[in-house]
Amino acid sequence: MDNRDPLSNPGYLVRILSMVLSAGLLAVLIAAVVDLGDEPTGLTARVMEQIDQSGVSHPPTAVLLNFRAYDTWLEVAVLLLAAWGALALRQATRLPEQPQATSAGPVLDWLVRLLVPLLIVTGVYLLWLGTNAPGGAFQAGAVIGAALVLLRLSGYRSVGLLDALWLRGSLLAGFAGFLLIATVLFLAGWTFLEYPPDQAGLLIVIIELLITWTVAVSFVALFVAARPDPDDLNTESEGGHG
Amino acid sequence: MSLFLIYALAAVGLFAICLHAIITRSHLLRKILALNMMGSSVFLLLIAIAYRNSVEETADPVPHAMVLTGIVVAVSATAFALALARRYHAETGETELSDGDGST
Amino acid sequence: MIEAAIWVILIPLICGLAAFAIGGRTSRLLGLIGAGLTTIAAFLLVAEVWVNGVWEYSLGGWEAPLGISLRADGLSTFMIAMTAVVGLGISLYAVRYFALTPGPSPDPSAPLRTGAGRGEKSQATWLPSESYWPLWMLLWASLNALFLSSDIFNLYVGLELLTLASVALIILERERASIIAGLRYLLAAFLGSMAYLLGVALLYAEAGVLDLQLLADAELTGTAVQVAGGLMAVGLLLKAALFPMHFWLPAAHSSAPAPVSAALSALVVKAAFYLLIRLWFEVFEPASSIAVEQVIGVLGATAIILGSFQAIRQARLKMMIAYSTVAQVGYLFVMIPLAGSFGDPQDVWRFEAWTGGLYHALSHGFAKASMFLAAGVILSSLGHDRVWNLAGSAARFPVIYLSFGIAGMSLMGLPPSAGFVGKWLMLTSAVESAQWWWAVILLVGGLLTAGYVAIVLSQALQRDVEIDREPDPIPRIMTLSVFGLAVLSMLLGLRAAEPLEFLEIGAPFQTLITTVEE
Repeated sequence: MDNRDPLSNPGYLVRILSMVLSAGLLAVLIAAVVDLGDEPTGLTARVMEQIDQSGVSHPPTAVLLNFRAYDTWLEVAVLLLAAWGALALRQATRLPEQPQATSAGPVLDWLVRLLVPLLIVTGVYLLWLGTNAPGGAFQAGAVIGAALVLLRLSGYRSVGLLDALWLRGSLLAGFAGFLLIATVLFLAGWTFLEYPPDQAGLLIVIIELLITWTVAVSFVALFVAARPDPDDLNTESEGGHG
Repeated sequence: MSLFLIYALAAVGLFAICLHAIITRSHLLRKILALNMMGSSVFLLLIAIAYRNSVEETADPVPHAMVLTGIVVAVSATAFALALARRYHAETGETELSDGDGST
Repeated sequence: MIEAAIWVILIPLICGLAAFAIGGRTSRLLGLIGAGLTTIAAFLLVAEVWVNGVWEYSLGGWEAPLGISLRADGLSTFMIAMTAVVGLGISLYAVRYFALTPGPSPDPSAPLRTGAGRGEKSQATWLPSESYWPLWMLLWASLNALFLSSDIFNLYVGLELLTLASVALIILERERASIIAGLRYLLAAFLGSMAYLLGVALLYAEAGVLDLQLLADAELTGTAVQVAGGLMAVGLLLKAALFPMHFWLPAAHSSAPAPVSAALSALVVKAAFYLLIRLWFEVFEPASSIAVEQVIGVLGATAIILGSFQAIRQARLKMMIAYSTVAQVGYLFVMIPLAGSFGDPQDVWRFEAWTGGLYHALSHGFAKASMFLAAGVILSSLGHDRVWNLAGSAARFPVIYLSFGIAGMSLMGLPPSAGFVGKWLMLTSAVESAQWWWAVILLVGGLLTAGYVAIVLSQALQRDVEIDREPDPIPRIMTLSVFGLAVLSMLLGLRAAEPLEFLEIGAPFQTLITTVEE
C-alpha cells in the first residue's frame, strides 16, 4: 500500500473501527478496575512470614530469587534467546567495535572517563543493595550494560574485546549458573530449586553476580545487533580492530 | 477516589490507547513502541495493586517481582522485534509490514 | 520417586545449553541425546501418573500461594507425551534434513570472526543446522514447562519463552519471507502476551493468588474476573490462531524449515490451546456463559470452513498445509460450546466433547507433523512445492505420499484413525446435547479436508507423466519418521481406550468424580 492518500485511504475505516474497539475495551477495563475495589488481597503477609528463611531481607529480592526463582530462571532464558536470536540474525559471533570510532574529542573523553567508573560503581552498589533494599541483579546489569554501551559509542574498546567464546560464555553465564546450581542440588536430594538454608544467601549472591554480567552483555549485544545496516558490520570485519 | 483507583484507571487507559496505536500505526517502530508501552501500562497496574495490598508500610512484593520479571521479558521481546525490524528494513527498505493478508 | 516431571524440563534445557555452549557438529548429537532422554522421561511420567494419579510439586519447597507449583494430571501428561513422540520424530528427521538442504549458501561477506584473536579455533558459525538444535531443545523445554506449570504468571513467562524460541527458529535461514513472517508472528504473539498479562494482573488483584488450583477452588465470579478471563482468552486465541486472529499463521508456518513448521503446527499452537482449555474449564468455569462459548464455537466453525477453502485454493503445498492448520484449530474450539456451560455439570457429553477435542489435538499433532515433514522432503527434492506441478512425483517418493495420504485420512476423520475418535466423540456430544449445528459443521469440515488432500494426491499419482529421474536417495530415517508419525495418527485410533481413560485423571468434570467414587 504505497499511495497513502489520507482521505481515500482504506485506513480511515480501520481507524474508526479501532477507536470503537479501544473505547469498548476501555469501558470494560474501567468496569473491571472499579469492581476490584480497595480491599487488599495478595501475599504480603505470607511473604513477610517466611522471609527469614529466604536468605535475603528485601521482600522483592526474596520473591525473585527464592520463592519464585523459577520465574527468574525462565526469564534469563528469555533474555538469552533474544540476544542469541539477534546475533544470529546479524551473523555476528563477536560484538564489533564502533566502526567510525575516532578520537572522541576532549569533552566527551572527559565525560566518559568520569561517567563509566561511576556507572560501574553504581552497578555494583545496586547489586550489593539488592539483598536488603530496592536493587538487584537486573538493575545492576542494566546500569553496567549502559556503561559498556557508552564506552562503545565513544570509541573505547569494551565488549569487542570478548572473543567468540567469551561472548557465548557471557550470554550463557546467568542461565547456566542457575541450571548448574539447581541440577546439582536436585541430584543431591534437595527439592528442585530449593537452596539449603545455610547457603541460601551465598548461592543467591553467586547467581546474582552471574545474572548481572549476563544482563549487561546481553543488553549490549541486543544494542549492537539491532543497530546499524549490514554493510556496517561487514566493513568492520574487513577492517579488523587493533 | 482512592489512590489505587487513580493509578489503575490511568493504567487501563494507557492500555487502551496502546491498542489503538498498535492497530492504526503502520510504522514498525511505532507498533513496537506501542507494544512496549502496553507492557508498561500493565506494570503500572501491578504497582498499583502492590500498593493496594500493603500491610503496614510494606507493599505486596509479589507484584513487584512480577513487574521486574515482566520488564526483562518485555525488554527482550522488544529488542528482538527491533532487531528483526532493522533487518527487515535493511532487506526491503520498508518501514511498514505490507498489508498483504490483513495484518493488524 | 525419580520425579520424571522435573527431568522433562531439565533434560532439554541441559542439552540445549550444552549445544549453545559447544556448538558445531556436537550440537546435533546433543540434540538427539536430549530428544531421546526427554522422551524416556516423558513416558516415565506417564507411568507415574497412571499408577499414582495426579502429581504435584512445590518448587523450592515453597508451597503454592507463595511459591510456584508444578502439577501433572492426565491432561498435562497427555500433552507432554504427545510432544515427546512428535518431538522425537521431528528430531530424527532433522538430523538428515539440514544435511540435505544446507540452507542459503553462506554469505561471503557476512562472517565477523575474521578479527584476529584468541579462541577463534572455536569456529563459531551461524549455520541453520547448528543453531537449530539448541533452539529446538529450548522450545521443547518451554512446551513441557507450560504443560506442567500451575502458576498463571509463570505461564506468562513460559509463553514468552515459547514465542521467542519459535521466532528464532522461524528465521533460522534468514530468508526475506521468513523474516517478515517471523516479525509479524512476534508482534502478534507479543500483543497476545500483553492481553494475557493484563488478565493475570486483574485476577491477582481479585483473588490474591496466582496458583491455578487455588484460583479454581475459589470459584471466582464477578465483572473483574470475567474481564480477566476475556483478556486471557483473547490473548491465547491470538496465539492459537483462531479465526479471525489467524492472519500471522500461514506465512509463519510455511516459510520456516520443515522440522520447524512441523513443530509449530503440531505442538506450539497446541500449547496456547491447552492453556486456554485449562483456564476455561478450571478457573473461569463459574464466570463463563453460554453466549460467549457459542461465539467461540462460531469462530471455530468459521475457521473450519474458511481455512479449508483457503487450503484448497493454495498453489503451494506448505501454504496449503498451513491453512489446513487454521481449519483444524477451528475444530479444537468447537469443543468449547460442547463441553461448556450449555449442559448441567453432570452431563456426560460435556466430558465426551472435552476428551474428543483433546483427542483431535493429538491426532492433528501427529498427522500435521507428518504432513509438514513430507512437504519438506518434496520441497527439498523437487526444488519447489507447487501443488499443480507435483504430477507424477508419487513414483519418486511413494512412501512419502502414502504417509501424506494416511495423515490426511486422520485429518478427515475417517475410521479407524485417531482423528475419527476425536470427531466421533465431539459428534456424539453434539447430538446428545441437541446442539446439532456443530455436528453439521464437523461433517462439512471433513469433506472439505478430503478436498485438499485429494488435490495433492491426485496430482502426485498421475500415471502418464514421464519421470526423468531415478527416485531420489532420500535418507531412510527421514522417510521413516514421516511414515511413523502418519501411522501413529492412525494407530492411536485403534487403541483409544487407554489414552481416553488416562485423560480422566484429574479432569475438571463432576461426572467423573461420581464414577471414580463408586
